[in-house]
Amino acid sequence: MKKQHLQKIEDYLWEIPRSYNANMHVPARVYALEGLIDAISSDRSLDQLVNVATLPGIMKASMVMPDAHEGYGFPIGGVAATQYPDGVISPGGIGYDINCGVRLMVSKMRYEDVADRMEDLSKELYKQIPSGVGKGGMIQLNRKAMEDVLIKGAEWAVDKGMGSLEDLEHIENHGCLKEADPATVSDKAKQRGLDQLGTIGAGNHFVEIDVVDQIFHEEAAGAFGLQKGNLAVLIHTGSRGLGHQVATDYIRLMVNAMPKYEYKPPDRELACVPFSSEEGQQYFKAMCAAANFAWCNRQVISWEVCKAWENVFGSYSDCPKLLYDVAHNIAKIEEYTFNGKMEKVIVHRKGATRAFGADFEELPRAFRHIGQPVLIPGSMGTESYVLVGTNKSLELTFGSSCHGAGRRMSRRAAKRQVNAPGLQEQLKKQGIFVTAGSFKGIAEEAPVAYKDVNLVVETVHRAGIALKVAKLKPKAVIKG
Amino acid sequence: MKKIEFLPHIADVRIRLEADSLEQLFCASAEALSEMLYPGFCNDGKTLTIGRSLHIISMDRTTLLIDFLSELLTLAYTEKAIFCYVHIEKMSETQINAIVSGALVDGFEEDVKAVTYHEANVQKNETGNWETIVIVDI
Repeated sequence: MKKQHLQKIEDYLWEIPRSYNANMHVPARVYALEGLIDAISSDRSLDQLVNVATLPGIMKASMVMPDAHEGYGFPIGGVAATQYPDGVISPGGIGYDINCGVRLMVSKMRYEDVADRMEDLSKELYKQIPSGVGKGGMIQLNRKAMEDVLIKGAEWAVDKGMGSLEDLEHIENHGCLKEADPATVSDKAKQRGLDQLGTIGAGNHFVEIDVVDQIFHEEAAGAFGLQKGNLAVLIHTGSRGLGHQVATDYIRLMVNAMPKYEYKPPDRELACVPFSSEEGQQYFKAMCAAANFAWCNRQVISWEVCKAWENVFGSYSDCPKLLYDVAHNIAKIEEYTFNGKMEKVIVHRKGATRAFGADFEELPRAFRHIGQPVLIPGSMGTESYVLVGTNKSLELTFGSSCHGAGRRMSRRAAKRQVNAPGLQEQLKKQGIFVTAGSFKGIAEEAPVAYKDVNLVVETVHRAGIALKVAKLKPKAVIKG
Repeated sequence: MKKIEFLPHIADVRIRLEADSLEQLFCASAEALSEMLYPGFCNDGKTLTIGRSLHIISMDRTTLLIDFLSELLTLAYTEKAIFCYVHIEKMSETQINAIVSGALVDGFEEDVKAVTYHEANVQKNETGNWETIVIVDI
């Protein structure tokens, strides 16, 4: 699809009308400033967005955030809400890495006081946090413990001494989706997760030490505990092999089940069934279990960060405190206003972050009056952002915002173009220590492979769906 | 005859497979997956230390290929092994019985999350060969 098919609605909003394709039930909307439109329309993101608009029961519009890029089935950066309970649920609208997400821990330690320890800290983090593909962690679950993790989520780790009860208040859904049912998760999926708690994996997953570089919103920054010059830790990973297997199992099941419901989506990767159907309910319960596994994983990684902190700085109690943990690959049952009436919908976020505004009851008291922290990692070596969600996002984007910078170059092209040892050295000269399992990983995740995160964040800020609070600059990056 | 070609994709991996028989197309797909998981692992006459059988039934030849690759990927991760060889015992457009064999590994080079149905369409091309695209989530 070409750029000229987009109709400009606002500086930050574009639309493909329903008339573009007879099968569309709703229009398709793109949240992006003009500077991002060429990149978004250069791959198949817009065709995929139009396909999403054909899903049975879809409400209002299919949407992509400004970090959008081509995926498989749904575009990455996609948001789609379907009617509850008989609209569809589509595993492709959540992705294979169920509850891939980000958490931010904030420290009272000033960067200038410990700048000379950053290399030691990055090496210690690499030692404490297992990374890489197929690499297990220090925790080996048995079958019973696995069931408990799938039911309890982050609370399982807290019960084992890895964190505090206060941490749970600072996690989306308090780190646990109650609908989880381990019986709906296959033995293969459970087996793949047995040794993976506390591991980041590979690809674009990382643990990063940042310094708070700039404050845009003093009140929100104060409530979030962000002070210019202080350290923070950003963690990006998900449900690992367990989540991948749950998605694989259920997409296959739905491909086979769709003829029963007379669904024939334009792409099999958009496989879907009614949420209320037996298959839909089974998938939702399994997805919730995998999401719980991911929250537990990030909780265990926080504990590993604290161990590294203690080994380098001599005190566990100085470890950064959890600000927030938010998913960006997930489906949720949420309520929105349609024609003045509250209705439940099934919100699919695939590479999109929940961005709820002030007075949302689930938020901790410290920032309930401000809104939910929205965490936007940039690419390795570039800025990341902390934003705050708004009530306008509830009106415009089913309470959703962007999730990162968004790729603009393929991994193969990045590998061809980037001299990884050279990039690692260059970043070191800028005071950014990158520790990775392979040079391949560094090349694939080079800043040149990503869109300008500043422009992505500027889009959601101007749209009013999430507002800039603080900019973080990386100092140490750990990758698989 | 079998041919594997890696094509551009912004975030994942797009593979074009071509072969002169459906059996060879499946063997090529397994070869491509192993090469992604651990480049070069199967090149040097590995001693085969692990064998597993796969029995898959799917709704058509395209879903059969993707389901076969998904099973092979799951097997690689659960057994921590790369499967270099595929011996097809029985095959139709909707069913495959095969023995896969390979060797154990300490880890993998690529985090292959899943094999997707996106863009997959197993069909004969103008030259009479079987071909398809496979998108792999990494």
